[in-house]
Amino acid sequence: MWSAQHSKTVPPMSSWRSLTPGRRRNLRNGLLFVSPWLAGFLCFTLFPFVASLYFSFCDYDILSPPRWVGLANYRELVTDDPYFVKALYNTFYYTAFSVPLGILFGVGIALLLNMKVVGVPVYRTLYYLPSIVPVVATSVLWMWLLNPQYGLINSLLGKLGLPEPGWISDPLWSKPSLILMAMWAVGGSIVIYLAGLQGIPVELYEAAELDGAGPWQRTRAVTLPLLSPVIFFNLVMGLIGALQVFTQAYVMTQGGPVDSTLFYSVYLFRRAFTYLDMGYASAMAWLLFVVIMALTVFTFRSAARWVHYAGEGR
Amino acid sequence: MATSLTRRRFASGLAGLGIGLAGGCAPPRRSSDGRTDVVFWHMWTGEWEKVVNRIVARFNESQRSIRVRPLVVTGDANTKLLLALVGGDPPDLMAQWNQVIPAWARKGALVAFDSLMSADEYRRFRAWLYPAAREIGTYGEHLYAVCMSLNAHALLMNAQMMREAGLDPDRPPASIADLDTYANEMVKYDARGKIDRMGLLPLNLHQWAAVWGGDFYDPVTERITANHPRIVEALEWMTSYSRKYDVNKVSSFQAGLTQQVGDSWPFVKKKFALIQDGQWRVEDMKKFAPDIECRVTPLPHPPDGKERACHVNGNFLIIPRGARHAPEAWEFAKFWCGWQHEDIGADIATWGGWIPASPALTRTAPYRNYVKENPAFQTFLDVVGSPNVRITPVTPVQAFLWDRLKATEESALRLKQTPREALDYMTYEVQRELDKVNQRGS
Repeated sequence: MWSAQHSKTVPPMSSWRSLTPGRRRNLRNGLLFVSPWLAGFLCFTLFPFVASLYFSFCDYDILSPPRWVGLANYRELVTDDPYFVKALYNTFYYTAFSVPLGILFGVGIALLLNMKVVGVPVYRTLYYLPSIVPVVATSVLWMWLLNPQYGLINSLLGKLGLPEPGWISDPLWSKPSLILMAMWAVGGSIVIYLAGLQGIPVELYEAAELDGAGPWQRTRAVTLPLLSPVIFFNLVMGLIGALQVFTQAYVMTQGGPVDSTLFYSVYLFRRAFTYLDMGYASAMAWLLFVVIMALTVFTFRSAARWVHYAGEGR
Repeated sequence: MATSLTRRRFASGLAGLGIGLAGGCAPPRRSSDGRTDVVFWHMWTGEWEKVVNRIVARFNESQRSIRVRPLVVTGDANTKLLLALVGGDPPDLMAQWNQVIPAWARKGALVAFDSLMSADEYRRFRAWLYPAAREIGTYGEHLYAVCMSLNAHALLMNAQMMREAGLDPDRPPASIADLDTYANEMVKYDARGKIDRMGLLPLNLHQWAAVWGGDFYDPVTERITANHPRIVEALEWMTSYSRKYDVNKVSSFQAGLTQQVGDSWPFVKKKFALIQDGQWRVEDMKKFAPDIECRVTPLPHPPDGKERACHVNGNFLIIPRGARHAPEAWEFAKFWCGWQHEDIGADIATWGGWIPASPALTRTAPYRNYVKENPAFQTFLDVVGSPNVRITPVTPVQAFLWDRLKATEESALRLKQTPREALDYMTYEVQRELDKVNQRGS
């Protein structure tokens, strides 16, 4: 049924000659209508994508023509650039904490918001709100909250007699500060977890309850396995997003203090637009692409062990 | 009201889009009255934009054949310029104060101003400028940036706070030892034990390196000398404040000073009794803190240091390669900096509270009157004419050096590295970058 409809609306290109003039006109008009998108995609996505691969093997500063240097940029990155190592470390640190914590926090809140209590729609809205605030606005807000001298957080800590960290102005606390900030904006993933939770059949919980399972056992044996595809999705998206973390560090710390928030994308941006080292920055971008791809493939491979799809009989 | 999309309309729409894209939506460069339009990019906003508009208006009034069209370029203006340049539609003129002139000049992105003058005029123009204005704008054998104004630094003092601490504001600190004593007398803590006011917080190593007499670069050998013993000593002195006042408390205090402009400037907010800063603060003090009695003195120096020394930078004008109206842009640059228009240039300098590009302008009547009204300005004029001022080294890795200088200072002031370690490492990495650029030869 589907294929019949499909062949009726979009004829294959090989049958161009067999098309009636009316259909040819429709096809041409259709292509013309999507042409702005096609032109945009070709000019602003595909071409830069391919060009950056070429530039990664060149010495290129925008102002002069690119000069082929082979693998020199990659070699220098891997063997002779301390900031590359520092930026990778900072990025992995951020990813290693923000992604798992984001999942824990997101699932935890979603479980609470899935309970049948008075005012749940209000709570759901409140938790979702931060995720629709632009990152730059969030960053400025948190700069004030985390201000060591006048910030709300240190003021509260001080009243409780607890130590007051330097937060984003202290190299020791700057990355944890950004991780903490990331937790504030998990509303988007909470919505997805909630949708997943509401898709779990109630009879499974009833069966588990009849078998004598308590709340924790029901969560562990029913909720988490059936939520695992959603967790998997958020894990993959979270990994990809965290490895490209940029805006918060760019706005709040500019990579400091003492390079403690010099994330990979921040260093890449600096190389490209401050030092005009476009070839080198392109090589950095492609290495990041390889790292993200490798981690994504690894995550997908691991999925067979822990992701349970309903109807698979596992 | 519904309109149908006819073939003709659709085709003309596409054609319009194509022409718009191909032409880069470039504005027309000749007005209907036949005057040549000079497109001028700058990054001044707010009150400063008004000053720029006033300068442009005065120039346009004086002209029959040229009209300057100012355009505020916010955000990353340098990247925007490079993209415009590569796209073949750069402005005719751009204001510039970042560390990019040598690198851009080396890459052939700028028009040399000497190509717009006769050899004789060029020789006279160079001699007319302050040495710092000349050196910052020069790369190799050519002048790539014309200075409109210079910035000098000095020590600003809150006289009332000094009196309260039992110090005589008529006897400013003459040495680093004096400065430390004065600073210590005026620090204040709040009930939580946090620093509420600092006597002084020495920041900006490039300023104090000049005072100590250390250079970051040797242009003869083309070697980075950031670990010069005098610079190490300067940084050691700066880090002594992190130790004396507790590095965590100092960091926390600094983090609370989020704004450095207008009425949020910490000196206006009475967060410092002494502060090193530039001459534009004279105007700020008049506008935002007329109640504060402010005294100004050159930065004090150690026994074997340099008197009336500081790091000098400024505001410059550059003409990007491919500019359509470079000679007309040069006319505007001349008008602003005061070359061949000294009274006008001096008048303009008073509008912004600027130190002009040439000592000749400081001798004009409008400028003398301005200094008479603002006596604090005289100290900055004395400093900028001193042989002990220093500029950011003119190297193609200026931006990298500047970044690393900030990181080095930060690392030492937070006591993460000793000054010697931090400066040794900075020397190594900037030299490495310079060698890399030199090897490429572009």
